[in-house]
Order: sequence, then structure tokens, then C-alpha cells
Amino acid sequence: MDELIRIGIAEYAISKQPVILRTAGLGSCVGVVIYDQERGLSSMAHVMLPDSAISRNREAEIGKFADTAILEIVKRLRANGALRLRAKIAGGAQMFQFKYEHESMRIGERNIASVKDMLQKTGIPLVAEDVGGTNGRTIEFHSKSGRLVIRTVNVGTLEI
Amino acid sequence: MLNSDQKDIFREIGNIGAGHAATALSTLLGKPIEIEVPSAELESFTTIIDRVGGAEAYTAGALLRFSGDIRATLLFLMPLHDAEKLIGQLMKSEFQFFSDSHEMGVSAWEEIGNILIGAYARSISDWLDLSLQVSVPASAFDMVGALLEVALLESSTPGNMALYIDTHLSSAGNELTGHLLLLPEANAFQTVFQRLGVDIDG
Repeated sequence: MDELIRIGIAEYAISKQPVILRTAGLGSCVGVVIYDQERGLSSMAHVMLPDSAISRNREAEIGKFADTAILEIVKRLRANGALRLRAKIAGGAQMFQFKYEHESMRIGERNIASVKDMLQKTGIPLVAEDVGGTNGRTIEFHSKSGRLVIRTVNVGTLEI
Repeated sequence: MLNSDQKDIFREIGNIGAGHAATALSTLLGKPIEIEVPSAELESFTTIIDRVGGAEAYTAGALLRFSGDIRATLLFLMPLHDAEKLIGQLMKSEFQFFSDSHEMGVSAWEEIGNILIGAYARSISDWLDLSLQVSVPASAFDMVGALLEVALLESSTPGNMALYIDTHLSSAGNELTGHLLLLPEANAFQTVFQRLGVDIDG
């Protein structure tokens, strides 16, 4: 069994070994997996917010924002020799349905848009996604096979 | 962390809120219900997630927002099976989420959430002399980690902390566990502690 690395909210991890990367209870947050399967490099981030412009302490909060997390991870993967990076993403749900909520509160949708925008800017193809909806997700990436397993409590398990 | 004076005050707010909530819920359920507050504390999200059973624990959540003198979010969480028991008492029949009676149960849950959170809100506004308006409740039933994220976004407190009130409900032989989280928005934390007579910088 490959090593299991757990990633908490606003954290990320990078591995050069065969590994299982796991993050539990994604709601409006987005789990971003960026990997180079041929070279055995993999990563996962649990991003909370779309844009680091609001951050007061950007150095300490790299993993919290879609823009800073993706830039940092891509930089480090490439420094380790990554040539053919691909991405899979999951999350960005809206957990509570508010009756009178402002559009700007739809943080899940904004997280998804920002993640996709950053992947495009860094030239990384998005090969699979399971985003939006109203369900929480626990995701597990198996770096050897490139499988991303997505578990929900209300609609079962999915693999992308 | 809170010092022992702050803890006492906060626990008192929790107890009074629990008293209001017990009276209102007993009326709603038509039978006596007792609510105790074993602890009230300023806690990190990591600790709170552990206390409610881990990020994947299947949980019912009800959420209300305050506006007025301060802006804050109140989130009430209960393990799904406990919530089903409580709703079953209200509906006077066995209840399960995602069954045929799901919608009715959700309404009942929102009503329970409204009463519970409203009672605590009244206690907070009385103690802190704050004028507060409370929104209509929203509900969700899912992994507790996913439910808590909504609260994380609201609070930009250092270290992602929330005021956490542990609650035990007992009614008709059922022992139920609930967790109430008060999440003031950035500037509201200061207001809350000033009204408590506490210098948060000192």
C-alpha cells in the first residue's frame, strides 16, 4: 500500500513517491490535483478562496487561495522535472441554500472559476472534473494509476 | 483562548440561551426537554471538527445570520441520527432524511434550528446589549467538514477560531448532542469582547 498523505483545509502537499493523497469534507472548497504520471510526481491542494488579493499574510496562506496555491505547486513540480502536467479537480459545492443571498456569496462557483483560470494561465490541461452541486466530497488521488476517487454521503462514490 | 472569567461569562450566555431554547422546544414538542451546556469555549476549527466526530461525520446543520450591531453567523450542528430522533419526536413518527418525508423533516429541522439559535441569539443580545436581527434559517445535511467551510469563509479571525457551545439535550429518554458555533465577522469579535468587558489585546 502506498503512503497516505492527508491534506487539511487550506493545505497542500507534493510527492515524488507513489502516494495516496486525500482530503476530507470538501464543501465550497475545491480539491486540485496536479500530476505528471510518467515522472511519478503528484500534488493535491484544498483551496478555500478564489483570490489572494484579500490576504494579509500571503506567505503563510499560500494553500488557502486558488491563485497562490496553483502557482506555487506548478513551480515546485516543474522544478522537480515535471514535463507533462495534467489536472483533475473536485468540489465547489454550495452546502447551504440561502433564500435571499447575494450572488457574490456563491463562493463555490467562484472557486471553480478561479481554479480553471489559473490552470489555463499555467498551461495545464484539465482532464477531469466533478464540481458544483450541493454535496460535500472526500477525494483520494492514487498517483500510480492517476485515479481520483470521490466519495459523497448522499450520492455515493464516483471515480474520474 | 479565553481566560476563566471570559469562559464563565460565555458559559453563562450559553446556559441562559439553553434555558430559553429548552422552554421553546418543550412547547414545540409538547413534552419536557432539558438542555445542558457542558462547555463553552473559544476553539479552533480543527478542534471543533474533532469534537463533532471528524470531517466526514454525517451531520445536520442549521445556519442563521445576524445583522445589526454586529454581523455574525450562528451554526447549529447535530449528528444526523440525533437530528432524526429529535425531528421524529416533533413529527410523532419515525423519521429518516432522504426518505419520502424528507421535505417535512427539513422544515421541522429548520424550525428547531430557528428556535434553538434564536434562543441563544436572544441571550447574546441581552448579555452584550446588542441589537440584532436574525435571518431565516438555511439547512444542510452532509459531512461536517463541508458544512463548516461556510463558517470558515465568514470568519477571518486569527487561527480560524469560533466561539463554541457544547449542548446536551435530553428528552423522553433520548440523549442528544448538539454543537453551537458563533462566528463573528472580522470586526465583530472585538465588539463582542469589549461588551464582555474584556480587553482582547491585554
